[in-house]
Amino acid sequence: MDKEQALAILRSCRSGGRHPDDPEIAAARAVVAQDPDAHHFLEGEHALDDAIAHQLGSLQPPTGLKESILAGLALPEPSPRPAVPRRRAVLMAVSLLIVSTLAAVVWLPILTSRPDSFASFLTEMRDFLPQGFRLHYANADLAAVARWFAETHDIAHYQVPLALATQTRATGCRTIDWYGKKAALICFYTSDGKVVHLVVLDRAAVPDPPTSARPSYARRDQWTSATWSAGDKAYLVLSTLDEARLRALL
Amino acid sequence: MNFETIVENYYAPLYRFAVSLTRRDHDAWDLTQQTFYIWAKDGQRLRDPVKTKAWLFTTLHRQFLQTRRHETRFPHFEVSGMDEELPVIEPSTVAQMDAETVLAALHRLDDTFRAPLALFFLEGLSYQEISTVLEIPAGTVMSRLSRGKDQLRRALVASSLAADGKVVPWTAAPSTHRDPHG
Repeated sequence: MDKEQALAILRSCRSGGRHPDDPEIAAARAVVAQDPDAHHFLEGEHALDDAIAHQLGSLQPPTGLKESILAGLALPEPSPRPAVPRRRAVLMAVSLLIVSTLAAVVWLPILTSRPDSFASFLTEMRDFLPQGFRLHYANADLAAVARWFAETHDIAHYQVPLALATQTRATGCRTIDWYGKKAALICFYTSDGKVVHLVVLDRAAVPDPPTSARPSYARRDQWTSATWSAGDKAYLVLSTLDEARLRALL
Repeated sequence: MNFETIVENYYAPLYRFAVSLTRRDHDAWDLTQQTFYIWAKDGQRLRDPVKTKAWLFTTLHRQFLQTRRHETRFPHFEVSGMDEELPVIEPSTVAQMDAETVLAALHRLDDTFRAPLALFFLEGLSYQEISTVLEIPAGTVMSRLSRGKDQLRRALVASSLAADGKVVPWTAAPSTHRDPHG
């Protein structure tokens, strides 16, 4: 190994490198140790490396990034399909077909003619929320979140279910603009990494808000949804929790 | 390791790597978030948890490269000949260096040098480890680190000159200059 090779190796290692026992590095050090100029150069180089590393390491991630990552992402779970006897499966398929056809006949014209319906909103939220998004305000304090909505977007008087507020951790919130209407989104995180998104919309903003004050549940892909109305608000929850666990929070 | 722990452990170093690659804060934010999104989808397939960190850095770098393919390249600091002498960095220059200065100098370099340098400085990775993360041969990493560090040194001196109006002397680096004793 000549001096240039030795320097090339040692310049590629930080002075506090984690491979002090690497024979190639040891050999390079031995070569450089015999050359005062090279040794001096390398000392200066490593001092500069450390100074640069110190400055770059001092860069701080922006506030809210972590919360946004946690809020915007859901851990997809493998969803094992229970074994269904063939005959029962056929019956279920036929029933589903009949129900779907009836539902389509009744609802499709309404849904297609009203893209701003609550049903469309639910569909779009199912597409939007799992993709990841930025929070506009990262704060775990629900009172602060409520103040932020009231002061910056004139959104107030919504209710967060007590169990959701107390048994999960809020990460922050944002607004969603939808056909000129503003919805509030608050994100929660369970201790085992499940995401719960609460979306609040004025009932008057949609022609078909949920009619019941009791949550109505549905499961699609890896997301459970719940919808209900209370006061002048329509509520939608989307979560990676299964229905039983989500029920316990609402 | 659960998802929250992984985010807690790696979001800051990943963000620093991202902001070193793409200077814009919002791009770095998106790259970091996108990396964890991909982890949430595919990371479970990784059987060896020891490789989590390398997996995340590799994924972020791949995302960056994909993004860059769709963008106009930034004008970059021209690569000087290897036979050119390296400028000395005065102690006063080092003392005046702050994160913004270093980041600005780093962003004057070409992408090919910036990524290995960022991993070198931020994570203290060896050239073998950088080779794994960036998926390029170790010899290439060594070459890019060496040339990249030379360029960075020049960029830092240039920014120092611009700031102070000082003339900084140039001196020989043993690896790029004839040995005066030889």
